[in-house]
This record gives sequence, structure tokens and C-alpha cells, in this order.
Amino acid sequence: MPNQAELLPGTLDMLILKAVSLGPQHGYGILLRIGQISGDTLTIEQGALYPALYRLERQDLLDSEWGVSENNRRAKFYQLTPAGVKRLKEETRSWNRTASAVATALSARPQEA
Amino acid sequence: MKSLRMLAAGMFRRSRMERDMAEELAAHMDHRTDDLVRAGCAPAEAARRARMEFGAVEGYKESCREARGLAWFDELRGNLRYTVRSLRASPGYALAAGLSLAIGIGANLCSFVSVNSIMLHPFPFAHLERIMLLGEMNTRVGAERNPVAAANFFDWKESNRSFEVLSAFRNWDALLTGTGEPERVQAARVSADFFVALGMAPARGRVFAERECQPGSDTVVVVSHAFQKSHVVSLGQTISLDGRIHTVIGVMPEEFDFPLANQVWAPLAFTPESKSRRDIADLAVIGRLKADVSAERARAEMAALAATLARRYPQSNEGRGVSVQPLGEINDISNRFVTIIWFASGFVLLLACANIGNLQLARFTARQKEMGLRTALGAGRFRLVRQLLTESLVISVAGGLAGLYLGWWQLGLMKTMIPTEVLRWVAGLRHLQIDATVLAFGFGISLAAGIVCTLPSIYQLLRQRSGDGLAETLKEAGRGAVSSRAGNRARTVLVAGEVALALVLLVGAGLMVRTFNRMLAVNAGIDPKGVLTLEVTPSPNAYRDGTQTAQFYQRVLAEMDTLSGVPAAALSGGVGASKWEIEGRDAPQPAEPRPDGRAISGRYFQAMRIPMVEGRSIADQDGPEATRVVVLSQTLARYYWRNSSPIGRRVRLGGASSPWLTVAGVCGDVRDWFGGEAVPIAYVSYRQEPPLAVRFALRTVRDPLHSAGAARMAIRRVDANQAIYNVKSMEQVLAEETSGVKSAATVMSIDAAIALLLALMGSYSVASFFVAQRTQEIGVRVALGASPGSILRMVLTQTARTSALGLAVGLVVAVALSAIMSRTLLHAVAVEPVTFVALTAMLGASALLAAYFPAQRAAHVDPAITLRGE
Repeated sequence: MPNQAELLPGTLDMLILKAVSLGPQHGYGILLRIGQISGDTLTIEQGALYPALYRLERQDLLDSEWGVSENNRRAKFYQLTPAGVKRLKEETRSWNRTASAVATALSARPQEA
Repeated sequence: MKSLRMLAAGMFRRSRMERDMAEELAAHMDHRTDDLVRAGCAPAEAARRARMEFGAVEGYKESCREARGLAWFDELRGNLRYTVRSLRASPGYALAAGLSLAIGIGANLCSFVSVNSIMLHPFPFAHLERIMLLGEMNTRVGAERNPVAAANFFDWKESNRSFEVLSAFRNWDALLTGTGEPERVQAARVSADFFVALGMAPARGRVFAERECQPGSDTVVVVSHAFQKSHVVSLGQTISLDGRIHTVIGVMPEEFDFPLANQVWAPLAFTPESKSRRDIADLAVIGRLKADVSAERARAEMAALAATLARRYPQSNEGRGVSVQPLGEINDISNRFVTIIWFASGFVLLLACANIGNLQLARFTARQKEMGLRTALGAGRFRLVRQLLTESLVISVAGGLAGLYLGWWQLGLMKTMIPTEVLRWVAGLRHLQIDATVLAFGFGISLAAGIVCTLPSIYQLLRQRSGDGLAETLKEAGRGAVSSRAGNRARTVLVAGEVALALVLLVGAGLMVRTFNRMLAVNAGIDPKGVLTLEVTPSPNAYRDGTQTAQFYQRVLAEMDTLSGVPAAALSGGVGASKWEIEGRDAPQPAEPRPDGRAISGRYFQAMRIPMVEGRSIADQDGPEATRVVVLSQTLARYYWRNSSPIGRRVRLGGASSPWLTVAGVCGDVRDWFGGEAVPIAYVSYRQEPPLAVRFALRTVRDPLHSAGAARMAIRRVDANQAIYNVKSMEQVLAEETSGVKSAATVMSIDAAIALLLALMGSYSVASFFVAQRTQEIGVRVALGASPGSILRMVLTQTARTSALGLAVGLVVAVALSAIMSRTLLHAVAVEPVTFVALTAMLGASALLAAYFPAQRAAHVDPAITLRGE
């Protein structure tokens, strides 16, 4: 897969929160959704997703509930808690700030220095 | 909140969560399989690929558990279960390790009890560090604590700014009558603020009011808890002390023990006349420092104060300073013994740990394959470390519990061996007990021991995993014979360390035993065998002056002379010797010897078997009207009359008003039991200088205690109202005096014996391991024609090299430590080189002997069997 980008440390949590913010989803679904919304550039090692989910749940950012998936299988669905919504907003804002700052810096030309 | 709930849920519904997690991960793979099938994969192939893509399921589960925050709990349960299983599989190891730890921890607990009660809490007083003992001292000699004159005490009390309270007391040998046999009671006369200074309140009743510390109103007493129990007195009841009726107004709590072993406190009353005496010094003084004043500052202030007093009253106070010593430090010498024993038991525990570390290392190597497998299944390296730790902590906690029992048992034994008399000398000895501090300490060292034991294995684990890969380990382990260089080095260091520690302990024990033996030997100055002693303090109410007292003694001696089986009855008692002056000479320098004064009767030297060197002994004819005479001990006489005879010369033991004494003879030296030094003594006649209290000494033909009843009766016949106490054989008296050193020597010897045993065990197990590890190699050698002798030599050389390393290190440490011990313990003997050599040789030989058995086994290896085992 040539177009895959390395995941920056700490961004996995943010991506999960974003994916879940689009609607309650189970683990496998979250994985697919992250791939989907990132235009298949970001993929996550499948097993690594779950420790992150458990961690977010423990931090009260996610809530979980057993349900039935579109494949008619029993699955655990995650959704954002109010704290999760707030955290996602904060993270997005700070990410955007950092990203645009880095982008500006990287696009600087010699005469601007 | 939620995480708390999850924790609770996790604890109580763990299996459900575990199931949930498994189900969730399985669902993930099922979904993936569905997708793959939909993409055209065969169902079986799809399932396989889904699993592959997912990765190490167990590893992720582990991370999930960790993320959930419950990992430790799950892991602990797992580790514990696993530990129990693996220990059950090797009960020999579990028993050996648990037992060594139990012994090591037991010894440590027992010695820590002494540390706790004697060093840390000698007294139960709040802010003990602020309570000081004050005394007068000769400024030229310094560092002594002499009694204080009343007028000086009141000047100190008035002018000082360092102390909240300054309080005086005086010991009082009181005669208790009216409760059956007359009895001598250890009492103290104390100022009203004495209890305030110590910060202690009575358990029941009250302590003295200021108005009760006046002559005439001072007939009230406070009694100790023990006295209240043994004499069944209640508040308001009266007791007769020295013929005066006293009312009991208070009972002190059980832990109150000052002065040590005191039974009764009475008010210290001053008349205006006694208050202004500067020439008689008979008070002890304690003070409580103000919160912000240090002992140094108080010392400086008191020194300045003493200098002022010396200028104002040069006649009495010239050259007198003030000593200020924290009360908590009075156990100085016993503290040193306690510390040494504590160290010794610490060494034993360290040895036990090294031994267990060694056993663990061997086990660890044997379990390398299992460890490798667990790693392959996703167990992290630290997970394995935690597993090792759990195992040894389980053993160490079990060992700690067993050690607690051992320590408790040993403590009980120790307490029965302490003579009652000694309780008066060592503060805190009465309160030896296992309390919360001791338990906490025991728990702490158990955990520490458990961790220390594991360090070698952990070191091994971490080293190995960082070096060769997992596959390598598995391959090697599969072959059954692992010989890791690092492991061997660790084992060698451990055993060398054990040998070194054992040598240090052996030398320490040798030092103690020799010190003790010398203490027994130095009393050669007298012959304690067959001597009975009894003490009497004639009540001052019955015997108002020296003449009456001397007559009482004389009549008692006459009665004792009639006893059968008593060839010599005599008495001795201390008399004041405040100055030392030889006619026609300058006053002696501070560093020159000054004698103690002792009044004796005619046959004292005979009874104690002290030889006469020159001249004559004190005789019964040396009465009050005769010429005053004195007999000097040899060392004293030799010092001042190096090449001439002192006979006929005159000396004085008091100030200008005291009479000159003519030297009548010179007698053999009596040596101090502790240091073995000759004590300079000037003996005078009890009829010329009657002592206030005496010790009768009866030389008997048979067992001295058989004559005790008859000797008591002899005193009774003269006066039935005097208390007779400390009825003992002279040997008992000496045993009491040396009991501290004796118990130290005993404990050290036991520690050293355990250490020796542990070191031999270590040597044995390492040699065994060495042999087991190289069985195949040995088999090959034998097959190629090596003789059994050369194999034996090979194993023994290995052991000899290790032991030699340990002995070399141990020898250096032992020499240094014994030098320190000799220096810190007053007069402890030095260890001669020959002892070092003997102990070193003994230890080295034993280590070789321990290795001999496994070596023997190796020498008779059957090559056919070992090679087939490959």
C-alpha cells in the first residue's frame, strides 16, 4: 500500500473520536470508517485499535453498548460521551492550529526568512 | 466515577469482562472474514487471513487489560496461581528458601526489638530529645556526670534561660516495714516538678504539690505500677518507709520507668539550711529544654553560668562545670552492642538472600524453555520479571510470617535470660516487645528480601533477552544444557559474597566470644567461687550515727563467725573519697589515678582471696580510737611509690578537715569486669569510717546459697527490722554484670553458625549446579580417557577459585570491621592474626568439603548414559 502515511503518535485517539462522532460504531466499523474518511491513506493495525478504545472508555470519552451489526452479528458499539465531544473539539482546534503553522512554516520561501 | 465503577465491575465480574473482550475481538475478526468472503475469498482462507491480519491476539488482550486499568489485578491473580503451582512442583526449593528466610528474618526481628526498645525508645517520654540529664563536672577532666550541690541547683534553676523545667531528685534506699518481712525498696526523692519535666502524668491519683515538698509535709508517695501490684496498695493507704508513715497518693503508669526500676517516689524537701549547701553534692538533675533551644546552646549557657558561680564561690565551685547529656543517650554502651548484633543479623539475612538468589538462578536456568515459550505467547519481558517477583515475594512473605514466629519465640527465650538486676542498668530493656513498629519493620524486610533474592535472576533475564534472540534461547533450552556465561558469573559472585559475609560474621563472633571470655578471666583479682553476698542498708532512724552503725555491723559479723561451714565472714561498703592527697606531695594531676574508697572488715581479703603484697591487712582492732589506717591496691601504690614502699606514709581521702590515714599495707588489684583494668582502691577500716550500706561476703565451704538462710538469720538475730537484699552468690553477681556481653556473644555465635551453614549450602549448590550443567562435557572427557581424579580436581578447582575470591574480600572487610568494633566497643579485644588465619582456613576447607560430594558424583559419571541423554 504505497499511499499509507505513518500515524503520528497521539493521533489515533483523535481519529477514533472523530470516527465515532459520525455515529455509534463497533470496533471493525471504526477501523473501516477511519480508512474511509482519510481516503484510505491512514490505516491502523487492527489489534492496536482495541487497547485505544479501552483506554478512551476508561477516560470517560467513550461509552459502549452491545448491539447487532449490519452483518447481523453481535458487536459492541461505541459512542461519544459529552466529555468525548468536548475533547474532540479541543483536539481538532489544536490540531488545525499546529497543522497550519507547520504548513506555513514548510511553505516558506527563502526571501521570507 | 466511571473508572471506579469499571474497577469494581472488573473486580467482581471479571470473568464477564474477559468474555466480553474475547467476544468483541472475535466479532472484529468475524466482520473482517465476512468482508473477505464478500471479496471472493474461500471462507476457511478468509478466517485464517482475518486472524493473521489481526496480529497477536493474546498480546492485544494484555494491552487491553492494561488500558482498562485492571491488568495488575488480573496479572496478580494469574501470577499467584502460577506461583502456587510452580512451588508445589518443587517443594524442596520452596522449603529451603522459606526456611532460610524465616531464620534470617527471625534473627532480624529479634535484634530489631532491642534496637526499637533500647536505642529508639529507651523511655516513653514525649520529646525525649528535649530531656537532659545535668551534672557537675570537673572542668579539667570533663565529660563526667557528678552529683550536684543543692545551692548550685537552685542557682541554675533561677538563672538559666534554656530549660522549661529543671528538677532535682535523689535516689533513696528506703526500708519498707509493716508488710511482712522488712524489705528494701528502690525509691527516689523528687522535686514537685519532676513529673512535669518528664511530661508524665500518674495513671491514677495525683503527683506532689509544691507544698508537699516541704519538711514535715513530705509524707506522701507515688508508687510504680509494679509496686502497686506486688504490694497491693490502694490510693489513700499508708506504708511505712524508714519508720515514717507515708500516704499513697498516686500510681504511675506501667511504662513509666525513671529512675530505672524505681518503685516509690517521695517529695524532695529542703530546709533553708540544706538548700544553701554547696559543699555536699548529692542531687541528680533533669531538665526539659525549651522547644527552640538545642543541647549545644544549653551546654554553652550552663558553662557560662558555672563560670559565674565559680567566680562568686571560688572555695566550693572552683573548677566545676556543668555537663548536659540527652537522657536518650544514656544507653550508649548497650547501644553499641545492639547495633553490632543488628548488623550481624542483617548479614545473616543478606546471606540467606544470596543463597535463595542462587537457588532461583539455578531454577531460572532450568525454566528458560518455559520462559521462552511464554515470551513467544506474548508475555512481555517485564511481565516475566513481575512473575519472578511474585514468586519470591510469596516465599518471602511466608518466610516472614514464620520468621515472626521464630523471632517471637527467640524473644521470649531472651527475656527469661535477662537478670532482673540488669533492668536497672539498661533503659528500655523492660519493654522488649513486638509492637507495630517491629511488625512494620518485619514486613518491610520481608518484601525487601523477596526483591533482593530475585535481583540475580532479573539481571540474568534482562541481559539475556537483550543479547541473544528468543529463537536462540528456545534452541539452546531445547538442547537441555544451557551454559550462559553471565549466569555462571552471577553465581560465582553470589557464592564468593556468601563466603565473604560468613567470614565477617565468624570473625565478629570470635571477637565477641573472646571479649566475653576475657571478662570472665579478668576477675582473677578475686575468687568468686564459694562466696555468698548479702546487702544491708541500716535504716538511719534506727542507727543515727556512725558509731551505732559500726556497732551493728560488728555484732552481725560476730554472729556470722559462729556459722559452721563459713571460714571467713567479712563486709565491704563504699565510702566517700572526694579528694586524694599524699602527705608532702603536690595534689595529683587530673590524669593521675585516684582511688575509690572502700571500707572493709578484718577478714575481707581472706573472704575474697585478695592477696596481700606488702604490710598488713585492715584488722578488726583498727577501731575508732586507734590510728587511722589504709591499705592501697597494688597499681595505685606502684604508681605513686615506684621504687619505694608506701608503708608508714600518710594519705588523705577527703578535704582539709578529714584525717590523715597511715598506709598499713598493699594488696592485690581487683580488675574492672568490663575493661579488665586494675581499679585503684584505698581500703579503710569500717570501724573508723562506717559506710551507710554494706555488702557482707561469706566464704563458704559448700555451695554458697546453702548458707544463705543461716546468714540471714545471723543478721536477724542482731536486728530483725533491717531489710536484707541481693542475697546471691558472687558468681551470680558476676554473671549479671557480664550478662549483656554474654548474650551478645551467644547471639553472634548463633548468627555465625547459621552463616557458616548457609555459605556451605551455597557452595554445595553451586558445585552441584556446575556438575549438572556440564554432565555431558564430563561424560565426553571420561569417554576420552579422563581419570576420575582429574574430574574431581576440575570441580574442586572451580570451587576453590570462588571461595578464595570470597575469602580474600571477606578477610579485608573483617579486618576493617573488627578494628572498628574494637574501637567502638570500649576495650573489646583485638583479633590476633592467628584467629583470622584459623577461621579463614576453616571456612575454605568447609567450602571445599561441601563441594566434594557433587564433585565425587561428577567423577563417577557414566559416559554411556550421559551421552545417550543428548
